[in-house]
Amino acid sequence: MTTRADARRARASTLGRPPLVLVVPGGIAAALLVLPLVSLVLDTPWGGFLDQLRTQAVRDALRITALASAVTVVACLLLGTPLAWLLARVDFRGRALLRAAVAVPLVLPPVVAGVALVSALGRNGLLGSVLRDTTGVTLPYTTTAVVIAHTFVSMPFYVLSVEGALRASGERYDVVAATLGADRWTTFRRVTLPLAMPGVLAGSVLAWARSLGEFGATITFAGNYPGTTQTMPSLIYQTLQADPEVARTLSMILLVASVAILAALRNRWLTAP
Amino acid sequence: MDGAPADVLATADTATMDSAKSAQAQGAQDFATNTMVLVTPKDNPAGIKTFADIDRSGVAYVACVDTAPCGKVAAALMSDNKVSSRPASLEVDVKSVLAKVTSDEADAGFVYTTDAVAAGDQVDTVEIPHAADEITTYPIAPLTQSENPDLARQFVDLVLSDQGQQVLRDAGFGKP
Repeated sequence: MTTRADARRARASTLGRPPLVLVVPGGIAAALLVLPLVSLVLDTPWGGFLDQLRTQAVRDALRITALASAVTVVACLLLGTPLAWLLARVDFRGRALLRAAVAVPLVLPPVVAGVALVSALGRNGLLGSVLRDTTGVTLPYTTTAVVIAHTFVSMPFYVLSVEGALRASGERYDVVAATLGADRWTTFRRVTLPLAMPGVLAGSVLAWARSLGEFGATITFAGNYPGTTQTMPSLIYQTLQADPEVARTLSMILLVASVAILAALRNRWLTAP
Repeated sequence: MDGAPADVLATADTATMDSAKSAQAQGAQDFATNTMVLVTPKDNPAGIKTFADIDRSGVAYVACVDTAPCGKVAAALMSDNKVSSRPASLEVDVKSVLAKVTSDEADAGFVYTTDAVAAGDQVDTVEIPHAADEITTYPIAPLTQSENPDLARQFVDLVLSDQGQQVLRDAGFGKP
């Protein structure tokens, strides 16, 4: 620790004091982010915390939320990484258009995302009706639909993050690998992907976080039933209608769980340089 | 109660009105009632003819979550009629239930008579046995915080007048 503090002091002496013009707005931003959280913590009836944690509804909702967010990250890694690579490395017609389309779910109100998913994958949707007629499978009201909704809203965060990392690391090393005889798949595995790893990790955390809080698209497309489609945010929202106190406690459970996982990840993989 | 400015409060159940008793300028009066019906999409894909048909396997129906007033009524009616199947989804409000039905994503849904009237020919309506035992009553009251107390009282009077009641009847509400 002393070495890090020494380094900081050495840097401060050469760069000078941080200017107020940056410190003041930065402090305001920090206050805006931290104050509501502190208020929520102070306002929470902590007495009911463990009792709520033991109820079946909360356990089911935590399980669905954990499952959906984990599968969402895996789906992003398996499907989003290739998409980010295509957008960053392959020149094809309509690439700019596709990149814009990938970013659209970022600005879409989640409920609208849900409506879009219903019109595509609902039982009378564009693809959903074909699926139903050929296989008899319908997606709404299933845990699969929850995962699809979460992936839809989370994937853009992942793809943009990884694409940014791929562009930042540049194509030079790819070219070197190719001149040394590596084919494109080998280059991707051994050179491109390791260089983009910070983007992959940051994108995974962003996608996972977005999935944890996801509510609008899920309830619109997948529905809300305990044990199959009810996530923590859905449970919190419906509890808010009946008992705001309990809803606060449930919010705390989700908050504590996410912060704990984030802290654990930070120690293992996300240590800042 | 969280301080939203208002002159008149009308609620979808008496419990909510009671919880706001301290804010009322005069006692709440019931101004309308509502009962629940089952609605199906226009082409009725699951072929639901009577209420009992929702218990057939493969029928996906939706209702409100029981933390909402519409969900409490639906749950009571399901138990009154000894429905053994479970809804496919518990929606947060009755408009979401109606939306699931009108978009043909559910075979049936529990909504209020007024929702069925509002949806017009987008839905078919099926009576629910014992629905008359689970009547929803809507109370209305002017509020002490009103900046126009006279206007607030006049509005309440208008809602309770023959003219106001006729508007409510046309929308599918029952007599208080």
